[in-house]
Amino acid sequence: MSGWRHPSMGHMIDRTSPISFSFDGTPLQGFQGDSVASALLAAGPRVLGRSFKYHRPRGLWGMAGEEPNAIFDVQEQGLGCPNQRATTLPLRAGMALRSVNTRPSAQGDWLGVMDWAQRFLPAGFYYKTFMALGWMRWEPMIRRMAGLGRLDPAHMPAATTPALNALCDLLVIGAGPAGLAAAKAAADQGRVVWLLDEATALGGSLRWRGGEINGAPWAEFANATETAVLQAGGRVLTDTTLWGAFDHGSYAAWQRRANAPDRHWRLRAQQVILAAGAIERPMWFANNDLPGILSAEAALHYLVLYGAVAGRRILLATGNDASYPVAAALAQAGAQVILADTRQQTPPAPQGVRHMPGATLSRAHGSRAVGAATVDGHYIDADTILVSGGYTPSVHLHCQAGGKLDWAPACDALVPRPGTAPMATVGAANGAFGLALALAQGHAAAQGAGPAPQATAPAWGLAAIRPNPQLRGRQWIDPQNDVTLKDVKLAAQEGYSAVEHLKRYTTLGMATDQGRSANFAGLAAMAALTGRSIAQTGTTTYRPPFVPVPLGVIGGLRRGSAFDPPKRLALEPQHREMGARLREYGGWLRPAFYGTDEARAVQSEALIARKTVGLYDASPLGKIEVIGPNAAALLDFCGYVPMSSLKPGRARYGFMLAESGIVHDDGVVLRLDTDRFVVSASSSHVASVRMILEEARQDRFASKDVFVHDITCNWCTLTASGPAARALLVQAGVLAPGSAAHALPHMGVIESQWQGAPLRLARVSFTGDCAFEISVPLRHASALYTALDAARTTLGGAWIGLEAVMILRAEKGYILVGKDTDGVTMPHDLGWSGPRSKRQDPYFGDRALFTAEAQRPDRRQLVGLVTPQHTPLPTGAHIVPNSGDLHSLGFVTSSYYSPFLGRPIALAMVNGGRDLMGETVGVFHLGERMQAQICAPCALDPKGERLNG
Amino acid sequence: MDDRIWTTQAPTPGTTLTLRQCTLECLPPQGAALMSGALDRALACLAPGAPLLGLLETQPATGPFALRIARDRALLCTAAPLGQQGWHDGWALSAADDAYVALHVSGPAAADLQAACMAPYQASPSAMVKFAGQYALLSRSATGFIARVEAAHSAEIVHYLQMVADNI
Amino acid sequence: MQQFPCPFCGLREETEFHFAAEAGKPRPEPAAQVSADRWAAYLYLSAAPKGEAHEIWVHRSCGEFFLMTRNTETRAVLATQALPGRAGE
Repeated sequence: MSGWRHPSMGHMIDRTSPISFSFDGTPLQGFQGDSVASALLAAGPRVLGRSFKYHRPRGLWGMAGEEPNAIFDVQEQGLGCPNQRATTLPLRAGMALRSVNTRPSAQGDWLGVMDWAQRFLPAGFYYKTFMALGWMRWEPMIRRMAGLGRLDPAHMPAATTPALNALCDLLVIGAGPAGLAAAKAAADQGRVVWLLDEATALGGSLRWRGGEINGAPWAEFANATETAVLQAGGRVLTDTTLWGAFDHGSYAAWQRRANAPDRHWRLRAQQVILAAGAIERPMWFANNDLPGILSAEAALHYLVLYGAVAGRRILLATGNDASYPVAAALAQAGAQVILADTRQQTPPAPQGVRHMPGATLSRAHGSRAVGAATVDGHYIDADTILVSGGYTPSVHLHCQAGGKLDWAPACDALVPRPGTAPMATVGAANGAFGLALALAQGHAAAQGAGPAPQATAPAWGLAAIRPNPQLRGRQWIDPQNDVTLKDVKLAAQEGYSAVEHLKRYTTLGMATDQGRSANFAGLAAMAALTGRSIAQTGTTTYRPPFVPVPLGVIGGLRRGSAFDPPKRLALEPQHREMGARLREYGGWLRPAFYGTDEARAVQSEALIARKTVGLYDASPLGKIEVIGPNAAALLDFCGYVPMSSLKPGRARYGFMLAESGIVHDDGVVLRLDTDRFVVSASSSHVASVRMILEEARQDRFASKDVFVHDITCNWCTLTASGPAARALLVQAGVLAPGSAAHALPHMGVIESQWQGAPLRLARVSFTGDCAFEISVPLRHASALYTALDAARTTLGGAWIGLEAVMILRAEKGYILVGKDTDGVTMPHDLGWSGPRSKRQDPYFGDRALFTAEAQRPDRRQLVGLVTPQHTPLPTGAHIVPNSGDLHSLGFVTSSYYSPFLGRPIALAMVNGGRDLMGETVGVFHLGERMQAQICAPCALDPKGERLNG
Repeated sequence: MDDRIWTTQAPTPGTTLTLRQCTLECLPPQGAALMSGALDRALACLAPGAPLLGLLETQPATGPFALRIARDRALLCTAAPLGQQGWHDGWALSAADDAYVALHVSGPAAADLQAACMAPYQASPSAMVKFAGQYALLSRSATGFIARVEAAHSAEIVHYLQMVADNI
Repeated sequence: MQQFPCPFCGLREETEFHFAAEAGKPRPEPAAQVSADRWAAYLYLSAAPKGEAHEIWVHRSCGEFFLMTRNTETRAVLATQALPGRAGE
């Protein structure tokens, strides 16, 4: 217990509003305005979790998304959310924090024994050992012992995050000094600026480092910037993390709002300025992962914003000027501070601070937390060690956008190479440390008018600090994934010296902090071990997201019923009223059957449709109008069966092929007039058929002489099928006895009127019975339904769902493309070889029908199957020889019990099937070989007499 | 997926839903036709003087207008069905009176709803865009925007707009 | 999210587009005179260049097929152009 709360400092917290929360069951208190991290730091617990692999005790390190250790499963209002970062989580009353990867708690974790076994667990250990021993057997145990938080299966947050699209003139990422200067400069010129920062307030490091801009407190400049941005029509978003840079200048940002749902922004901007600041590097010495070792910058952050003081006896180890104000502030706050600087030449020591120039920290002491340190061989008593190993510019977004980096020795860092990404990087993110430099760069990048905002603070001096491979003891490079300097050495020895190999071999930088504090050390160590420069060693690829983003934010509102919703029928309320069970068929929600007992309902519906009349909703059938003098020619080219010879008022069944000769769709084409056709594409293929027609129209035909209109959605189509179909239409007043429509022959089509509504009647049959497709515009759907349903009741007919329709069409051997056909089925495999043998004119897929493959005699062909059993054959079962060797000759594609025939029926694709008529084959399913006889696909009324009603 | 999650119904034509900070009117069906080919000749013949509107252009308060879809295609919107179709010497016409449902969103949150449904396009000759995941024709009214969505998608898109309004 | 300029509609997001074909591959005809190899090459052999590629894309919103030149490595769009005979309509 070393952290404490300063009696007066900390302008973010409201001391009049204490907040109770708990950590691993221990009740603790913080204040309104605290972050979880600041509250924990002030409350004192040091061991906040256990490390990923060795179960080492770990404590708070940083202040934002770079935090590798302080990660919790958070229970709030009965729901658990895993792996929340203490540093970016506002404290709320009643939060219950549970440390991750600990059993039973962070303080007393019995798997801490793993740390004693560390010498046996080098990089690559799991792979080398358990792959040899059978990974499958060991994986569950290893997974239980390693890893982070646990998912709460009850936690299913509501889909409440809308994604919003926005456009601006200038997007400024980061509202520290450089970002503020850029935003102000652009807004002053009337540009629409969006200024984003992941913190709760503007200012960046100014919030804890303070400073004067143009001779006034910095907050005045921040306020003036916000006012200017808003006045110019821009926006200022705090608590908003820009987490990804994507193709062609698009960006994604995650906005967190108090007492309102999060928002997900998709942003585009004419200009982008990256001012994301820099992240403090750790230092590398023995036991540098002990709880109580914090980033110096973070300690200042917690002190100034929250009054949370990191410790009472503090050793600050550094190599740069930026740590001096930190030491001064902590001393002033009442802590004992020793400042050990690796440099001999340093700024003057702050008042009240013991100064050790030219001193190097080599070891931290303590079992569960820091108790002392060794500096230049001296044993130093300390409850807290603050370190600053320099600063790493936050170049992630620049690199995500494809930008390259250059090594800049002056700031000891990799900085963006200008012109390699569609954004300008300024301030600390560009290696420009120090207030004046940051302001100047921000102002210049936004093409600011006049002089840049002025500040007097000098630029920081710094010394390069690196991991020292000669030092004794374990030095942690990546605390979140438990990678040590020894692991990097091992990787180098074993030849994994490329950074991408190093990353994958050791898991360096692959944790949820993405190695923010680790990657530099890893590549610096690898550079040193292999005798290369850091620039030559390079970096791994930066990819979104910049911080972990909840999947709920990315998924947005597209969940549950809004995830891939199907198209809906106009008559859906009527179908539901009749007890329809709806399912998705080809992207439409359609009645599967009516009632609750599926098996009985489907059989009953199929039987009534054969005996009297069945009615079904066929609205999803495509209605693609092809109009113009070139319409017939276009359809001839795009289709397998020519349509130019079709007479107006008639319909013809045909196929559309892919250029590979594969059947893409089947359906009926209606010719309404010489230059007007309707293509009845199957419901799931409407969009693709329309595109095939459009492509041929634009690419091949005089596109002014033929046009394609998809008006599927304009029409409600109800189909009446069965011996009483005509009677039903007469009864409903749709057909007048003696009219031309009444005498409409099979495959006839006629346009007329019904109760003042346009009506189209087509005698097209998918069931083999006399059938009428009756189509009216949607606004008349309800009236048509009412009229047909009344007539159905008197005739004893039934509404039938798609499952019954499936039986009816299978009885006739009518195929369903994609069910009875697959990615190699050609039309002649289905028995449609006429156009292939007769057509001389070019058509889509023509040449492909004559390849050697297409001419093989043993191609899979459509056949029917008769089984002696009473139950239907399993769909998908393989056709095999009747006896002897088991090898596949094809498979069952459709199989049902036919209530009308009183026996099972089946369709199958069988190698050379048409030559096997009458032969007995095996049907292999789940180890059992059944018998079936090959027959013609059509099991009912092969002469087609029922079509006439 | 279970059909029982898809229970939201398509809006009844002519009804108005009150959402947070905005209203969503499902405009009653009028007349509409897809026309292709020589658009100027078609318009001169069918609706002389009717404007041909691009993306998010303001549709006239009264009188017919056409929403341009493509170089050679537009949706002609009229007060009542035209009752014509077919080939007309250089242009083609298909009745599409009920193919699209017009959803009118107005009020303070209309701009946010629009931003949640489509990319921030500024202008385009074609009024057809991807809107709430589907293709729709977008125009502006005096008080908000109008999305003409395919009738089969109207239930889904109204539901989506409600979800956006609840969470914006 | 990439953005492509449709020759008619202007700049639109990639979700409104579909790749159609590599440009410059005329359909071999008549079928009776096309060798199996030539047909196979037409169907299956794509240049798929790294760098500048000439492709036919379709803007699904308006249905326009057009020619696009783009860099498959940097994803930069270099030019788009209406199909011959379309632009004037």
